[in-house]
Amino acid sequence: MKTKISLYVHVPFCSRKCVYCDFTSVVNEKLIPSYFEAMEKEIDLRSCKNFEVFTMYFGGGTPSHVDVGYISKLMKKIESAFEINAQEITLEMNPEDVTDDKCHRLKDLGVNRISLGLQSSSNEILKVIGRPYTLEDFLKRYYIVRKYFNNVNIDLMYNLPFERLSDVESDLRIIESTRPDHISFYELELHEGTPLYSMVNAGVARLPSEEISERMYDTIVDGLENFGYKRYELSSWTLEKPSIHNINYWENGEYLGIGVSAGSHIGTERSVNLSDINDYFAKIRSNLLPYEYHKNNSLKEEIGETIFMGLRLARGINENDLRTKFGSELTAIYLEKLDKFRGYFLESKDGFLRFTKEGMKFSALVLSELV
Amino acid sequence: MYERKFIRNISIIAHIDHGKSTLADRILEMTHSVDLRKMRDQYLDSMEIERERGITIKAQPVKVMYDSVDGNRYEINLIDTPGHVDFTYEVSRSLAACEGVILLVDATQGVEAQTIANAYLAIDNGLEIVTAINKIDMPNANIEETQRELYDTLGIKPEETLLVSAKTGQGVRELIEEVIKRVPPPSGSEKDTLRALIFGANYDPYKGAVAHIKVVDGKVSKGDLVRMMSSGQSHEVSEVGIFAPDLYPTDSLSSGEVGYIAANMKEVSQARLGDTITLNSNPATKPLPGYKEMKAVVYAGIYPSDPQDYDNLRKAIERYKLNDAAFVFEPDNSAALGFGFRCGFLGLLHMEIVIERLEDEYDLDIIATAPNVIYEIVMADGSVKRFTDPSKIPPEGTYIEIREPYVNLTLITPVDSMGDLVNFIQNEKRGEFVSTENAGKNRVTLHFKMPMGEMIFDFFDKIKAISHGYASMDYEIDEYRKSDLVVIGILVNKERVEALDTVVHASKAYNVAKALVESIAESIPRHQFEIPIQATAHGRIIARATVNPFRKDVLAKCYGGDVTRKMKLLKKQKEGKKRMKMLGSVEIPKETFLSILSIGKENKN
Repeated sequence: MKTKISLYVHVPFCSRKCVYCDFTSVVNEKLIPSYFEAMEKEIDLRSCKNFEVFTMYFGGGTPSHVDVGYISKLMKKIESAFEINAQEITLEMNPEDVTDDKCHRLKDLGVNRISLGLQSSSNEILKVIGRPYTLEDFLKRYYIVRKYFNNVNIDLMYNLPFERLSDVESDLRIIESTRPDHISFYELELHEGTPLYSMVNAGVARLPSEEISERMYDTIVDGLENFGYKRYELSSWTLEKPSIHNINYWENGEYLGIGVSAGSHIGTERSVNLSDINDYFAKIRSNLLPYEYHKNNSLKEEIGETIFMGLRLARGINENDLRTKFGSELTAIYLEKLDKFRGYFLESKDGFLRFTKEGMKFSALVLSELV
Repeated sequence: MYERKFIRNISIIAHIDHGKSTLADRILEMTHSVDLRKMRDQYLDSMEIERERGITIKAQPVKVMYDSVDGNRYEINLIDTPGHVDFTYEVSRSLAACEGVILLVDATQGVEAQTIANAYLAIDNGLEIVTAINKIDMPNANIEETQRELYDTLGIKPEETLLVSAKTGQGVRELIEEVIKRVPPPSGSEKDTLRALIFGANYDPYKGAVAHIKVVDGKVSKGDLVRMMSSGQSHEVSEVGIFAPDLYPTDSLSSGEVGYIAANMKEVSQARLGDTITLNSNPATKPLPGYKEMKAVVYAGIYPSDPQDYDNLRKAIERYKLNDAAFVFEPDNSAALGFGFRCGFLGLLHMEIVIERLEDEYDLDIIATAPNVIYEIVMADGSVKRFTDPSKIPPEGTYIEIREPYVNLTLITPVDSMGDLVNFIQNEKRGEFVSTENAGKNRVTLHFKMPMGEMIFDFFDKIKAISHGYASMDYEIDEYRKSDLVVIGILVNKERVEALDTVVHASKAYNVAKALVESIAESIPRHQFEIPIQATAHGRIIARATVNPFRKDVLAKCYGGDVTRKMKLLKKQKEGKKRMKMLGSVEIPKETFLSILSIGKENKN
């Protein structure tokens, strides 16, 4: 029997770099053809025969920034290398790239879920963070996407520079009127080395105060629930279509990542690809897997990761499943680390250990116990 | 020995960054003294911290042989001097070992306060001064203005100055020729009873303390039994030698020569700076003039971050002490910080250097408390006690008076900022204006008397800010004066933290208390509960700030490729927390204990 895996493809190209982004992205379009060739070669370097792909995800960067032809060619390569039985194929799009033609062609390729990056409904904030569209542009493109796809995610962020509570309320109104199937709503993380980090430190950009930020969080959590969205993961909400691909990550399932900085988890093997595109090219050219990090996880590391990721899901982790997989002794050791949070931040229900609503708010504090 | 008339003992006096080390490098190069392969950028700055900061802290002498145009071969002993006000006494002893100095002034910066102070030290020691204006190759060099400043401040005439570029080597040979012509050879007689001046020392794991000496009279040889005149201790000389520039053993050193002796001394405090070495069998009647005991003037607590490291810290401090006679320490303990040491330093830079070296060289994580000066208290019975720790000062009302040390402060600054500087020192720093003099075109020298305690926080940076970076300063300890001082105590979450005790003048108690609690509150991370920070004086609370509880701590998005990175990130944050001190249920980072030092610094947020 074949191993069921998720397949992730990283397309690092962007028309411009957003000020907050610390993901691997490349603005040099000349590299697009060789990058896609390199990814085909990476697929050759992986022994893929025993894998059955049940979800696929094209993330970035901005996969919509490259010509669909590249995606199409790579898709053929994937189909020849793996057995494909995909229930969900997601592709991330930026509003400015959306056209009828592109959507049509992507749908023909089998893409059945689109993740659209809005980030904020405030045109001023969009400008500050370097997104090249307005809310009005977004809405037009959103309805184009809607014509072709019945599973659409909207990415939003809060705690953005200069953001006010009213901006978040406006985000919610947009959701109420557009009714996407899925919403990812993240708190902006300030990463060292990003332009925004320097801007904030120099006082050029100002982030909301903690108090406002907390009110934003509460507004989002309560607002989305009122609209009928179910929060099935710390930062994911859906009407009725949770992301099968992402759930596989959170269940610490098996997945293969292709392209720069992509992560893989096959069996107990954990690896992350090189994040520099030139390093990646060099390795592939010498017929080597482009690892930046590669290790066979110990049982302890596996259970640590499994709980770490699993608690992100609203339903939590099944304690019996843990015992079956990792033994009752190790499970007890790990669950004990979280004992002090039980009652207030964590609760057990129907054999599942999970965050309370308050606990989700302090998830970083709780999960730190596991590292 | 080398014929005395061909010996020149000199120092280079220069302000930080005026090119002293570069000039020394050129001289070494020109005399082929250092194998080029071995030559580091700046040979004389041998300590890591010095090299990192580009400043010389401790003198490391070097002997070079120079072939003059007059056909003779000269021995030149270059005695380097520290370049910071904390080390004035060390400079004065180095100069006492010389017959002349090169006064090096940067043509792009002009004359600085410390250069003048050191030049006066040289004049006081009766040394010949050869003045050189450096960096003349720079486009912004202003030779005429620098000459004018030299004339105004030190009476050095423009025609007496040499023009050099230590970087390119231009004028350096002429400079050495001038030194040979003008600086006299050492005087003294080989036939007299031995008197050798200790102008420096370092610790060598095999030789013990190595004293850097200049033989003024007589001769010292391997095997001699010598006596330290200040302590009366005797030692047998196990090795005599010269700096070439590494230690190079010889049979003896004679009058006029510069070199070193090792004599099985266990620590450098046995080879005291400024002390006179004589022969045990035939001792000199009078020591060489100028010896002073080096006294610590600034104290701070030093504790291991992890209490388990106490023994390692003790060993490190004891080892460090071997090499630094000016550093003093005694065991101490604090309710908040556990077992540690109360340590004394020559000044703030000295303190910074010691802590950095303990952390770097001994791989320790150290918590230092804010530095303070030594207070004198006249007790009820009339006796005078000295306090190096504010938390040990007895309660108000139980003593007659409290006194604090004053310094004589000298600043050189552009005329533009003179008004603001005088205002600042008089109105905010309790300073008394003494006098002013011209120091070149548009520059003045200002003299003040000021409490030394006022220099500890919000001083150096402010002086630089007010003068746009142009002011330079020098100070010396003056006298103790009666003062209206109060101890500000700090409560963190209602618990007294004695390690945060601070002494301030009563007139400033409220302002400092307010700034201090705010600074402390800012340095403590948010907890899940509210933490009040209170300041007390005269037995009541006079200021309060609050560390607000954190409101959320959401782990942001995390997908497949991110797990490893996310977990690592959390781990790093967690380790950062581990290094904090637990005070009851409050985690306090080590920076908190230095909060007083950040008062007045610009708030970035």
